[in-house]
Amino acid sequence: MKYFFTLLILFFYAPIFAQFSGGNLTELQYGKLPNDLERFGSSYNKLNLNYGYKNFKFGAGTQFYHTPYSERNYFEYAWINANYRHKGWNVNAGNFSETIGRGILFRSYEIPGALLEDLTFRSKNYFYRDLLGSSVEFKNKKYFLKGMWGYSLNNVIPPTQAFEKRREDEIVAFSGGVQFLKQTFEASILKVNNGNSETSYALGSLSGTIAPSLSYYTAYAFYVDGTFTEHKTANTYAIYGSLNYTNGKFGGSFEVKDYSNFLIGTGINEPPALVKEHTSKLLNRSTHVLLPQNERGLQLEAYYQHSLFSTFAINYTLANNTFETRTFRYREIFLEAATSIGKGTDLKFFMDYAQDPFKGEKSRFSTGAVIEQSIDDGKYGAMLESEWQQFDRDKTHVQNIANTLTFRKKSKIFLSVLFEASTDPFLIDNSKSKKSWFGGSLKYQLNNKHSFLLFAGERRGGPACNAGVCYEILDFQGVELRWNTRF
Amino acid sequence: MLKLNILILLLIYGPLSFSQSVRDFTLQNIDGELKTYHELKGEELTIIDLWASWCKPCLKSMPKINVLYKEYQNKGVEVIGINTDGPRSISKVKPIVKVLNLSYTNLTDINNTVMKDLEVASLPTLLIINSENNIVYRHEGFSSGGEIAIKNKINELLLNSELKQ
Repeated sequence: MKYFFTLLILFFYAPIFAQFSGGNLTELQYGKLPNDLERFGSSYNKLNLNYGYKNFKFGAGTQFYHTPYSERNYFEYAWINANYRHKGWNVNAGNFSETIGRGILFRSYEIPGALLEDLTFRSKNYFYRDLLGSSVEFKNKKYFLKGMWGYSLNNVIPPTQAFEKRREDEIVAFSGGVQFLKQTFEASILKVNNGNSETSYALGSLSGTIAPSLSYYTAYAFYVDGTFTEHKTANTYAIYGSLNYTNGKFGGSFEVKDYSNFLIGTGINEPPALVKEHTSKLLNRSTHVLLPQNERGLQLEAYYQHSLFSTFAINYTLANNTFETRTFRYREIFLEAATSIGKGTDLKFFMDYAQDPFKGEKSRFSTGAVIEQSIDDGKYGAMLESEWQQFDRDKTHVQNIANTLTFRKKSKIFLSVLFEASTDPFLIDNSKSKKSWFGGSLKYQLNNKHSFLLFAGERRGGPACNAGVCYEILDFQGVELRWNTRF
Repeated sequence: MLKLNILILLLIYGPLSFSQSVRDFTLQNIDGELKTYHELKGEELTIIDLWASWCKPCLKSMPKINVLYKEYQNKGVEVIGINTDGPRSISKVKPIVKVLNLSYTNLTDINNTVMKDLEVASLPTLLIINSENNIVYRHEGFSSGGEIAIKNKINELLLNSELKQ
């Protein structure tokens, strides 16, 4: 008995340095979503638990969504993962993230805190794309080798649907790379099987530093084998190149793309878009969404830092989409200046001009300013963000405005008032000349572990781009409470 | 009976430690060279700043973190910037780091593997890690004056470390 207890104690205390950690996100809503006839209450919850011991980490998570409509509800054991990382080895079993060839062949991602709901399924789920399978990687300063197998998540299909629909694409991929004279050569091969087709793709890339101020990345990917027709086979490729240059206070990047028929599987890849992802509300909503089936173009971005807290940025984007004989040419030029004046005053100003024939938006002009004033060594602050946009569509003149006024106390309490208005005929009733959205939010950061965000009013939906991924946000009218916990 | 109860409680709660530590990781710096966390960590404290090129508060905070780095680098404090840009905007990372003239090392986490491992839910997130690799402070978001709170925390942690010695 004595030995038994000693062994028991030793067994339990072996992992004395092991650690539990995790997080929980709860979102409670009461209100109205588009196409719903009445207001209703809903709750969403995502729980993550992790256990770390030396070089191992184990994680598991659940998510659920509950509404009065049973077809939208679910409870899901969403992810489980075992990971080992030591001396260049990285081994995964379960759910894991991976990117191959800067997303040209495959990209997984997680948009922290973002929830996805769309008009088709009307359910709600965490916004991520991962692989369910396994991977092994070894890397050192001279070379790397990686192999993986798994089922990619199609996050537009919610957990209310069958596994086969949500994880339709089965992939097998191998990558390898060598480093020499500050240059890196990588080669990858990917096989995708999704029931409709079985296709293989290959990618080669060369990147590195030419001089301390000049670096580059180039990639070429193509169709290798599968069930494509001869015409499709010859026209399936992706070419991407970027060049970076810096000189003192000046820096810039130049990128080119040529993508043809390069939407892999149900959309498991995400080649570099070469379109600026804006942080301002109106411009973010207007972001051009890449069509990897058929897109050519370039992006030029330059920065100049005048002083420690004064920067200028300029961006030019060109994207061509050709459909049979017609070419849609998206063009955008963006200018931004940010500076600090006096004590605790920050100013930012931007201007943007675009032609977007694909969406029928002619001469789209947007401008905006942000002024932030902090008082008492940053203990209190106020920020006003004001944006305005106009364009012509089908002989109609459209205007959008967005204003946000925020007051804060330290980094603990943020109180915001939001106002948006639009004359877009796609959004307003025939009897009215404009539509307005008015709302307010209160964020309270209790401590390092708990934060609360309360929203009340109306929120304008539409396209949104975050961390390189574009998705749709639904209009909302009502009250919403978010509680984020970490433990 | 009391002894048995204490033993059971110890068995249950003893191994459970609800805190988070940093496992060694390997990422490329902005010149494509592989760097490990153990190579870069500070003797007393390590500050990890997770950022992205499209995150405006991140860009606002970085020159201020650089000022803190210059002030504390001789006191055993190291700063590691971890960029989380995906393929869409990764090409903008090097020019930004160079133009902002950041003195500390910046790594690129294009797969967001380290970001996930550190359970980062928003950007920017700044973590302070002690010499035992435990995360002892987490600062999410950035608004003017945020650098003062970070500086006060560094001072407090350095003082605690001195007192322990």
